[in-house]
Amino acid sequence: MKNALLIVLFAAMGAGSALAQREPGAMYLAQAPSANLKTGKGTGLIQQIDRDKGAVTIKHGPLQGLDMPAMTMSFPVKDKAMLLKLQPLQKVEFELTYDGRNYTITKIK
Amino acid sequence: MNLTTRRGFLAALAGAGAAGLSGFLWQHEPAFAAADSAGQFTNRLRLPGATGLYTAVTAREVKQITVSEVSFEVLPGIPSPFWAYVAEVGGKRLLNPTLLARPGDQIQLRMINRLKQPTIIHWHGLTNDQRNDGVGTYQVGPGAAFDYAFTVRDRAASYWYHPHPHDIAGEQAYKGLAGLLIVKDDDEDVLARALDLALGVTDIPLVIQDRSFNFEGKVEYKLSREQMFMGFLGEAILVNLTARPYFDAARRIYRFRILNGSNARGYRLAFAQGSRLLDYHLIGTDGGLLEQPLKVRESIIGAAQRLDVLLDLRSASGNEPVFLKSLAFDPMHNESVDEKTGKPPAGATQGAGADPHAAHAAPGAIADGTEMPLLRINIKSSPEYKRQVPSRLSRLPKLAVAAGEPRRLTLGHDGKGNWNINGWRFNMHETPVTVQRGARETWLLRNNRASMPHPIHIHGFQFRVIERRDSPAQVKALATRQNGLLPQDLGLLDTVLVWPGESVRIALDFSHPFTGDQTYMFHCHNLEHEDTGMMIGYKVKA
Repeated sequence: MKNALLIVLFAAMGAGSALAQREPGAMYLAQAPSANLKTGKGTGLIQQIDRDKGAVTIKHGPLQGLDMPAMTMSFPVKDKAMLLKLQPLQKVEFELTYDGRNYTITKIK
Repeated sequence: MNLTTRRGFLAALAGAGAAGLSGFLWQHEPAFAAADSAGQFTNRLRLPGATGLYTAVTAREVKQITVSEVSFEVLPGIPSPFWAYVAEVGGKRLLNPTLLARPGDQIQLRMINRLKQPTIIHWHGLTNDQRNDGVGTYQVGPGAAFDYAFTVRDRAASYWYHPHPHDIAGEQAYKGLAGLLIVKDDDEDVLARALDLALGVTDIPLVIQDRSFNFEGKVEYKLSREQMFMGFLGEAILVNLTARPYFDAARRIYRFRILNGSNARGYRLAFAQGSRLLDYHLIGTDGGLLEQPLKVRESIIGAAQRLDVLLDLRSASGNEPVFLKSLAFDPMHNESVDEKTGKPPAGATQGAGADPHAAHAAPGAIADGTEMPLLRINIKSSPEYKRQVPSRLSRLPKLAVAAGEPRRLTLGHDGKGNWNINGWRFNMHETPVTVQRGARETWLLRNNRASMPHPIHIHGFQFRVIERRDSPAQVKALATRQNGLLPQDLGLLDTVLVWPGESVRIALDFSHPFTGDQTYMFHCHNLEHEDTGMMIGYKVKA
């Protein structure tokens, strides 16, 4: 029973790993880009900063406007300069857009 | 599948905590390892100060400790619920005060429980009668009080105090309840004079703990059943409750009294300047000073253990910062290997059995064994310092080893998610082991191959390690030429880390001044293991 459960879990994990290999914020490619840009905002705690890729990983609460529950996720930022003053474990408020394909943080402080 | 549902599905899988599932949505690459950049370590290390956290105070002056929930900024600027030992001394309110004592001191204080659950303070490492030892048998409920009265009978050392209620010690320690009890004696005074050491300035306690925070930056302790089996692994490593800490130091010798106050995590401690590891001297262990300093480059410290070290920053070159780091090591989470072969079960190509060394961690947690800097030490210009590490430190009690067969204690699990010792699990009303007061015994602590490292803590009596056998290569690499012992095994211990497949012989002397039968505990100090039953009561028969 336990093995069966693990097989199911790891089969699912394979799919998850494939998703995780994509660029930050591009995990949900099934949906095509939309002309209707959605905007959202949230608060969270910075987990990691990738200044080279221009991405920040945030443990965030529910995102208003995007129907996204609390989770930890890596997001690209609009401008890498936005990352300069950020530190891991810093509490931030941020705004982001979703074009049906990618999430992008537009403001963060 | 719509976005939210799919996310929920993934999150649910990650939340299931199954081994190897960590990092579904996000794989934690240790944030601090990416760059030992100055920008990552921006918070001044918290030190025992005049008021507030860790303030050093003579233990005899403390008449009352209130166990309370307070608001405390673990992360800068973010108030978080925090549980603390609160003492009022001289009109000052102290949190988790550093208690100072000398051998022979009488300590009398009242603990008042202001939590909404039972608690009790355990004086970790001290020789006490069963009542003053402080374990679940004596826990008191919300609003109740407990009076301690005991004499400090042990050698000078860095002891500590923490909660020990039944089933919930891990949660309480995690939420903040832990403090140091530093005992000093004449040998300590000689050392302090020789090296010009002052507590909180050049004699620095370092309490290393890992923590996780919710999205609001508040301390969070939520574990799945599977995480309880592994022990808590957090998302950030704090030193003295400081995230990303730095410490400004002079070019001289520092003493660091290191306590691994983590619930479950181990560390392989080294001081590094760039890629170069600096030598340092191990001068003491759980039970105080060694006879002489031992030069080392790294030491493994299990949960609850203490290492007392001297670092000579004159050996650092230039002004490049030095980091206290945990080097990478194999965490040996081998609980699913075949006990006879030590290999993954046949047919396992993935999953819990595929990588017996996998550092199981909750999503976002830093995997056990990850290399990471813990503390940045900035070297500042300073007056010339000419002191040298002394060649002698103290005298240890003569080691007397019992003749005859050892008492055998095997550490393992039942395959159903329950750790045990000799197949026993904790029962408050049972004492499967009885020893005679005044007897000497050898205990053979054997950890199964299908296991993980267990820091075994024995209440009531300090002990000596006399032999390690079948140690994993990474432990053997650090061993002295004496019976496979690690440098820290040459001192007195109250907690010993036993690795999967390893057998550790320890010598105990059950002499103590207490009349009447006394009941103590020994247990794994992975606090989640303790809370789930890897603890045994033992009776010292008068």
